[in-house]
Amino acid sequence: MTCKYSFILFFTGFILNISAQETIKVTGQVSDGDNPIPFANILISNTSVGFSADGDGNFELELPDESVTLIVQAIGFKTLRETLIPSEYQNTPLNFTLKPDLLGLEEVVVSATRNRLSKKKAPVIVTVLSPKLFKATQSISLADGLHYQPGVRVETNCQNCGFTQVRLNGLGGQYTQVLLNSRPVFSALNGVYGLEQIPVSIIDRVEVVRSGGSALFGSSAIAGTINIITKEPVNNSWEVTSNLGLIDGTTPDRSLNLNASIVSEDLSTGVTLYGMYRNRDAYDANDDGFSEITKLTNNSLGAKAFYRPNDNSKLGFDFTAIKEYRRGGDRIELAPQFTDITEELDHNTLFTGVDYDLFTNDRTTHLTAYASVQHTDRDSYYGGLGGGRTRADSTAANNAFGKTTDLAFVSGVKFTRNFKNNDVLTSGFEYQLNDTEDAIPGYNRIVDQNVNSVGLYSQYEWKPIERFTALIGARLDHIDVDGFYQIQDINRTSDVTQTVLSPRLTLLYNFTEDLQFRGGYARGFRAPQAFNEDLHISSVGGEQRFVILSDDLESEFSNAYTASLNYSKEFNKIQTSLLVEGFYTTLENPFTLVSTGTSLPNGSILEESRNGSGAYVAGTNIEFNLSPSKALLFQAGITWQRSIYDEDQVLFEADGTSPSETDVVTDQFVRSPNAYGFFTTNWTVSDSFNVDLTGSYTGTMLAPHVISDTGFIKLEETTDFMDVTAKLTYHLDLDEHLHVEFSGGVQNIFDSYQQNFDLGALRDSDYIYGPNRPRSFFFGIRFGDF
Amino acid sequence: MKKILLFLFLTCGSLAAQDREQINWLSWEELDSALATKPKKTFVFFHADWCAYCKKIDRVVFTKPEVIKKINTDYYAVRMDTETTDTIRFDGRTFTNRQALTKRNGVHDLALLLGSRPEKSFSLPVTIFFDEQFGIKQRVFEYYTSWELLKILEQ
Repeated sequence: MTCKYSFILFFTGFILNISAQETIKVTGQVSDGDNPIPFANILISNTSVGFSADGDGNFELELPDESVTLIVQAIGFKTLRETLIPSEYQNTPLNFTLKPDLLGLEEVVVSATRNRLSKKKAPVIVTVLSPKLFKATQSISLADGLHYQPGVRVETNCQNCGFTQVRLNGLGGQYTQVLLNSRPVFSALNGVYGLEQIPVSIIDRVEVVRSGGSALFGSSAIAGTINIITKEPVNNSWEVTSNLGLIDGTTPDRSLNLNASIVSEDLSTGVTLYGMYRNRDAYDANDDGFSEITKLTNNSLGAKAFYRPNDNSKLGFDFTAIKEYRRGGDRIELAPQFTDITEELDHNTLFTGVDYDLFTNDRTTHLTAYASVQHTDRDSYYGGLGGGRTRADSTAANNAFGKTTDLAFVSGVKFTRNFKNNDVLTSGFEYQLNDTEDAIPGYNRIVDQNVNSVGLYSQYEWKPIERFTALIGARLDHIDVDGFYQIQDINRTSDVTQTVLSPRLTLLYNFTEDLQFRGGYARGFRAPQAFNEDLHISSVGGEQRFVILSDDLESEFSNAYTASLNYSKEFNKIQTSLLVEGFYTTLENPFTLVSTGTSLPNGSILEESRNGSGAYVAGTNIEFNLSPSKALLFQAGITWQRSIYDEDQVLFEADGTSPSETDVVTDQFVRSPNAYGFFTTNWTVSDSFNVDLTGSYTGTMLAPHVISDTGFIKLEETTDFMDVTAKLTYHLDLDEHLHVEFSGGVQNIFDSYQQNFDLGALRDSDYIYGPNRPRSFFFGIRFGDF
Repeated sequence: MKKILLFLFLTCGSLAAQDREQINWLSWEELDSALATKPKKTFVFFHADWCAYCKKIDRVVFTKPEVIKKINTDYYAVRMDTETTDTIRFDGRTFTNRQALTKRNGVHDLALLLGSRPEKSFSLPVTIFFDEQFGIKQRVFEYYTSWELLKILEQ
């Protein structure tokens, strides 16, 4: 009977391509140190010659009589390379010891070079946020989950409307490019509230690239890119998730997510449908009747479908509709014009996209074409009685209604060619249009901006030797801005036509398999135009605060340098990795908001976006990962940085009427702490029980605070914050096709929250910083076939 | 309300499950003795929890009545989770999962033996078709539809 199963012989010692030249026979074993590893592959570098070990890890190689580099691979183990002289092993066995790969270092990422690449081989550091982390931190929207990456901070900047900004390496939201499936569909307007509008249930992962190193994605990605990759299903699945949060133990935040995918048996067609409902009440931290966290209702609905006519091509479609209502201020139950302060925004947004992928039969050449449209219709109300009860106040309050339309279109073609020597050429063309019209007739405010840009990019990935990769690229942008901006009696225009070449260079050098160096340079620029913060209106002293572009605003340029060392090492079964990254970015003519005080005829504050003095941000990101076993994973990151203007920068321009008020100047960026960080701990107690403990730290920083009715600001030094979340999850398999998950926990356990909010109708609504919510409790149930 | 819904899902789910015909999966030990008594063609399917395509085959292909009928009539069928840490006795030899001693998602020795390819990493799904003498006729290293599977099974 035993000889009958001689099939085993077929697979032992598979030998391929034995070369005819003079060879030396070498024998040995592949092991992990203790046990042999069966069926490892042993390849001779730069040839097509390969061998495989047998079931007991033993092998016999026929090697040329000269120095060779062998590549030893086995699934689940790190690839080993060893250069040796075969004649030295004619009489001694050649043994290889492979190290297991626990931390998923071989994970595949997209962002770094716009192709799929193993994370370790990517010349640019890409950090990946998984849905697991969004769940661990009880994130309902993308904005909540982004903290847990080194160098990333998300902060609410307005008590009235909940405007959030993501800050990478200390630079404001306008320096970061947000991409949806690698495409820049986020317009200047979406940048204001968009991060809160994307439900996490559709996200497969988020890839964060700090600094401009990789940025074929666009010249405005000065601080980095955030690439939201949505799910691509294989199986039919569905799930329903419902969460209830209680902010400060009282204010409810409810959400319901639905998600279902159908994929045909031959995988040629498929669709994912998703929907979200969220309803959060307004939260008032200091009982003054004015909100610190806005009321929010969001209904989103979407679908993503694909069709593969054959194995080498794919056509995709996606649609998302978002209806979001947010309101903050006081007396939320009344119509806005009867309140002291109301900011009310009703967004109706539609994203539609189509993409087409085409591969050649040998998969060396890949062509992608895509087009996406985003349209937003927005009704706004930024106003109120402002604490007064005169006829004029009432008239003003009744005229604060506004209307905004925003259209963004992006279309492009990308071509990738993989050469035989592993070099890769990527080239592409991209056209973008963004047309924003924002009108509030009562304030005589108009933003009418049309931005057209054409980008042409090319990049070459050069691997002259095994240890070294260079990514050399450039992007040529031709941008055309036609903008008209008006507030009361002031009007400005922007009429810019500019062609800019932005070169990029990134290097990767592997000192050893464990230690890698990366270095990069990127140039970036932004043409003068209204970005997210410039489209936001807040309130102070019972009046509105507007932003307008200054006359003769010139383009802003940046030079970003990064260098990093990445070390990963296993100590027996414990796996660790350490990343130390230094960054240095200089800004020329940075767009800087300067307050001119209550200089508008109606007593409102006007801030001008001006070219500030040169500036730099410099710092260090440190990220540490430790996985002692499968059940335990610990990650922590911290950033130390300085954000400095070359010359003292004016942030408030005094008009001289009050002798105690002079120009406010600083050499430091406001809202940019010198130290911040995060940690995440995941403990799988058993198959059904999971504990997550996560936290983010925000160091002290300067926050501008309007303290008099002329709009005079004081730069306040904030306290530091430690926002810790604990979550327990219990998983139950009711059936192979039905799973249930119960979860609960506390966000911001230590109630580390801003204590010194302004009070009442005259408050400075932008004076909000630190964690996005006080201590909150949450409960969730998730069920479905997932 | 949720509880009621849940209950409904459960009852409907389990009622439906009872009616379903299934492939008669054997263990390796059962296959060993079955082959000794009555030689027959053998069908072996390797899968793992994380393998989405395996799940798809399981749910879509192995539930088709014509596939179930064909396999149950003409084949012995074995399915194996490549990450199992069970000790398997087959053909007079003992196989264990030695990779699992040192790493996550370790692949069982028996799966490596049958499912490895030279110059390629071990990937899933792996499906192997044996003839009556337990000689390998064909190995498939990717997803297939029920009509593609039936075509191979007919050979």
